[in-house]
Amino acid sequence: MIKKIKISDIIIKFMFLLFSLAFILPIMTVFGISLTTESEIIEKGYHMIPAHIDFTAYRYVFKNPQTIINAYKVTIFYSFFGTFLSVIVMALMAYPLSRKGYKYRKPIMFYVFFTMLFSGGLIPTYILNTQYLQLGNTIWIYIFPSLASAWYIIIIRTFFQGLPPELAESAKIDGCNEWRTFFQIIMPLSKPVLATVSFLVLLGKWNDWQTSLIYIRKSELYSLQYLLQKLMDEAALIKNIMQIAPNIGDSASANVPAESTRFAMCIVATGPMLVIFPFFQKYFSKGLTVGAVKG
Amino acid sequence: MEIAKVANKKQKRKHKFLNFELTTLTLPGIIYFFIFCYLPMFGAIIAFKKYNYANGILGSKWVGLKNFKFFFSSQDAWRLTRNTVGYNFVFIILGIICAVIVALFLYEICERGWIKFFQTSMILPTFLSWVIVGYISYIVLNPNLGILNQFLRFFRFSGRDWYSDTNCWPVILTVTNIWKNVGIDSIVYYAALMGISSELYEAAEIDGANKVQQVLNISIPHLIPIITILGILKVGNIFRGDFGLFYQIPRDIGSLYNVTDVIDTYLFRGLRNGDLGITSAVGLFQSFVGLILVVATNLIVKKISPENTLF
Amino acid sequence: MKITGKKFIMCLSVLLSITLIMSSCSKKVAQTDNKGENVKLKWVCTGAGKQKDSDAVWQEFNTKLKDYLPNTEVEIEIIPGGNFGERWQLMMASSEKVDIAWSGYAIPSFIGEVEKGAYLPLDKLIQEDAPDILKEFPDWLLELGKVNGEVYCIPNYQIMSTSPFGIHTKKEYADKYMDIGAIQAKYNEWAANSNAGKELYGLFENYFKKLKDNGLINKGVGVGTIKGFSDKATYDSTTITGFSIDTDTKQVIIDDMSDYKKLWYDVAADWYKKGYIRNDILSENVDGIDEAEKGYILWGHGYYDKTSESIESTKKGFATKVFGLGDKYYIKNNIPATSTCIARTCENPARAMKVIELMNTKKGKDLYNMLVYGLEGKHYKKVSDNRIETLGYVTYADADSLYGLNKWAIGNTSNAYETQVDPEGYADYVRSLDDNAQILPTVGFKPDVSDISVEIAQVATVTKEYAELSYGALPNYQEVYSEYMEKLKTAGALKIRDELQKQLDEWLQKSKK
Repeated sequence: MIKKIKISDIIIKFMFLLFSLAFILPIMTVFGISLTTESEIIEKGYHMIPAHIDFTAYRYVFKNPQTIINAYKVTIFYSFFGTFLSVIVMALMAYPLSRKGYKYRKPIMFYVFFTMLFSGGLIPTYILNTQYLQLGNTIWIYIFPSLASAWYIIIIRTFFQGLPPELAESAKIDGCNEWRTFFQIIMPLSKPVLATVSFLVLLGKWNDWQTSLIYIRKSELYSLQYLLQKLMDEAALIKNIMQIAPNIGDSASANVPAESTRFAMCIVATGPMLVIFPFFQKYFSKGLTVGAVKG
Repeated sequence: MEIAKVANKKQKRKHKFLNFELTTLTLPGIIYFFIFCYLPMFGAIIAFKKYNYANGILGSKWVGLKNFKFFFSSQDAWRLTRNTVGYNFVFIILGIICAVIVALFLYEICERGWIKFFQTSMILPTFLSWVIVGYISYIVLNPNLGILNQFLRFFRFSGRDWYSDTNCWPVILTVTNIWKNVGIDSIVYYAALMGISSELYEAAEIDGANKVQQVLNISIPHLIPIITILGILKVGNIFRGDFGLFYQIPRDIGSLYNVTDVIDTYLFRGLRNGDLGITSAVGLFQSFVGLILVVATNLIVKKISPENTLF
Repeated sequence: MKITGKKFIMCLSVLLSITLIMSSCSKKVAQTDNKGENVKLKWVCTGAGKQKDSDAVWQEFNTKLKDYLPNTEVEIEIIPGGNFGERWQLMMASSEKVDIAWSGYAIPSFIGEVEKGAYLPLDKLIQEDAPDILKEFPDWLLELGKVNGEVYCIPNYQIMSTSPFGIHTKKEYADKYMDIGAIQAKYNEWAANSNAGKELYGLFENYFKKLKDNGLINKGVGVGTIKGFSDKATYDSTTITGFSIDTDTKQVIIDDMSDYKKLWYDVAADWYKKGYIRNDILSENVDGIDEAEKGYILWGHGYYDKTSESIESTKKGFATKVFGLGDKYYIKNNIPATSTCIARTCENPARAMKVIELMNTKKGKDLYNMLVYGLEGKHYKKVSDNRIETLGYVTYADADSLYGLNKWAIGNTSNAYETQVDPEGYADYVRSLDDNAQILPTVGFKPDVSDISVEIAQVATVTKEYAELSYGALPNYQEVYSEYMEKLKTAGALKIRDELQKQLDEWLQKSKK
């Protein structure tokens, strides 16, 4: 009996290892290219292992440490705080939707879901956010317009629906109102789904560069990904400056590491998330819900 | 009688109060959606207008369905629709199957360390933008130095010029899409599996069920609600092509457009003059068809298992 | 529930209507400029972004400005080039108050923006508030900014004439294997006798063959720019990609349907088979200018007789032979790559125009140079009367430099100080080229595309699909070519051509040249 399980266990692990290679090798390639010299890329194309290790791309990305540190600060603040607010609002929304007896379940569900399909588009949203809500060029633009998403609300709702209905019943008998039930009973039991959704929302906010592109004019409020994009654009622009002002002769521009910078950017932005992920994984463990129900 | 009536009234009041309380929970969300989603939604009316800055959205000239002409009268409309919907359909089905299989197998592993390692590696593609994935796919598919061709040549097969062979692209694009998304999707299903109490499995094992039977009778049924719901939601976007995927991976090579061009890439190519009306019109069309499909799918699901419907 | 739903929607609609009505109100515009009035202008321009000394320089600029225009202050915002187009559209859509606005290559469609009402017409303003511009600009310059007969932008003057098509290659190869004289002669013959085209390509082929036989072919021909070779020099732009005007016959041509293009497709396919074009050109998808870096042995770009060779040699790091095909410089009907406009939200266009005049004329030279280069001693050193040396950067000041804007984004580059990057006497050289260039008769023609916008978009998408015909790498290119011709017709290319022809004929009639 024990032997059988072991073999299948080994086989599964081995297959996953192979499977994981398909994901790890590309990231290693990205890392390798970020360390390659620009001229090697142009001559020989992209390869995983550089002939010579060269930190030019990273030096270029970090040439102004203050701006990068600033962007990290901004991004960390709005990502975490935004995720926190977001998950609470979405979970609050999901809970009544999961209760079968709730009268307005269906219309609200439709109300929420409709926003997933239909949108006004960039211009009306921009006008609303900048002219009427005055959110443009502030840190709050990263947090409020993206506070909730139907997708995650539904994931949370489905999870809540899986919780035994006796929970709510017994809470009421004990005299709790819905708010207390929600915060003191339902939420603690929902760690796996909350951890999952929190991580996914955090990831989305961390990778966001479009909000900065559209709304932010002050360089102190740039998000990390946007700052890196900008560096990328600048590098590319320097190389193509001839298209705008013809006949300029200068070889200094050739030293801008446009290609490898793109990859260095990727690594710089990814790093923190990889470090954070294990913290969320803590909650992806079996049996957390069991004890609670029993109790 | 009297007692029954009074009890009934009490019940009704209780329910009203219950509903009221629950509604207060939903208020933050409702207000959010109203302000940030519904208010700007009316701006979609741009789709029917020839937009002029000075006149604004309301004041611009009404042109009816003229903006829709761009897509519908195109000689490629059928091809684009076929590609967009066809690919999305395959992506949804294969994506679900792969993610569920991965989640199920991951669930079998007990050591936290291994789980962490595998999940972290599967999540890696999410950090890569489609631009970077485009470069990586080029490293693999490059006809001269690409890894795939080198691999084939090693085994005495001849390499191929992947970028001029239209037949491989449905496979290439599907594999790439699954590669990018399976990590995240499987995490969601894995979290759902976390909600199953291990007692169920223990009881089943005592009853003599083997692994496969346990999976079929416990794990999968527990996943059905979330698979169904997310599936219905994905159907809503079946007319929207993932721009990054279809633009970056085929490197925008025209001779491959027959199998790689989708509605969103077509739109991007044709609208260099920044015509906002046309973009909005196509978007509106995509949303509208998506809505119809979702309602239809929801009705079908209602017939089969009513508790798994979206609304 | 259903009743509340309806009420709900009604409330929404009312709220929304109010919102949208408010957003489309227009502001009143000052018709004449009251000199005593204190005016603050906002100038949105492209550049690297805000730099460390930006505020200091701009403060000094505003102080100096008072000597020229009392009671005037300018607030400048620099938006990096890549974002400019999208940001601009959002600013205009949300009626943000902008007065002076840069326009140019980063705006997706200049004509499109004019039609959407982004810019104010400038004719009257130029006459009343910027008469020096009329005096100092060459006659044809303002024509480039005209749409529907009105001027909508002041082009920021830099070299405007298009040069002869230049061939660049490694000097040592050219000296050994290339017969440049024969090539140039054959090219001139081609203008008169279209059969000479094939022979011309044959001469290039001899060069490639010799290189290949000697193992020097490296990556092959730089296809990206050399395919531009297939246009006749006297073709002019209709401002719609894919459609040109043959100025000799005054006919509108569909580029890809022309004989010139067909010849190139045939030659490219032939060269690809013979190995003169790299075999992974399809996926490499290189269209860029840095083709020498990518290892190509021949590529095409502009050619300026006095300066190209030295500049290219320095840039590439090896001696480059640059020679031109044909010797004529033309002023073509291209939308200026960089220009300045007045936005529709401007409340005091007269004052704004006066500022623009200073940036484009001799009387505002000092102000202009201050805005571009910064403060003497801190950001540049004066070398001679008209020459400076920029401190801290050479060609291009980026976001980390102390200060530096692009002279071509701010105004008239012929008034800019020469820097260490410019050859001696560059501004005069440029001006002389432009003055002696031939002005094509179609300069100033900007078609009204509102009726054919859908067809234009369709043709654009079809054109991209068959762009690879130019690389010669498609195995069954004859079939693909016929398919392409069919698709162009179905997409409405003929309709566009006829409409453009009609408008062109009318326009030529009206502006009898």
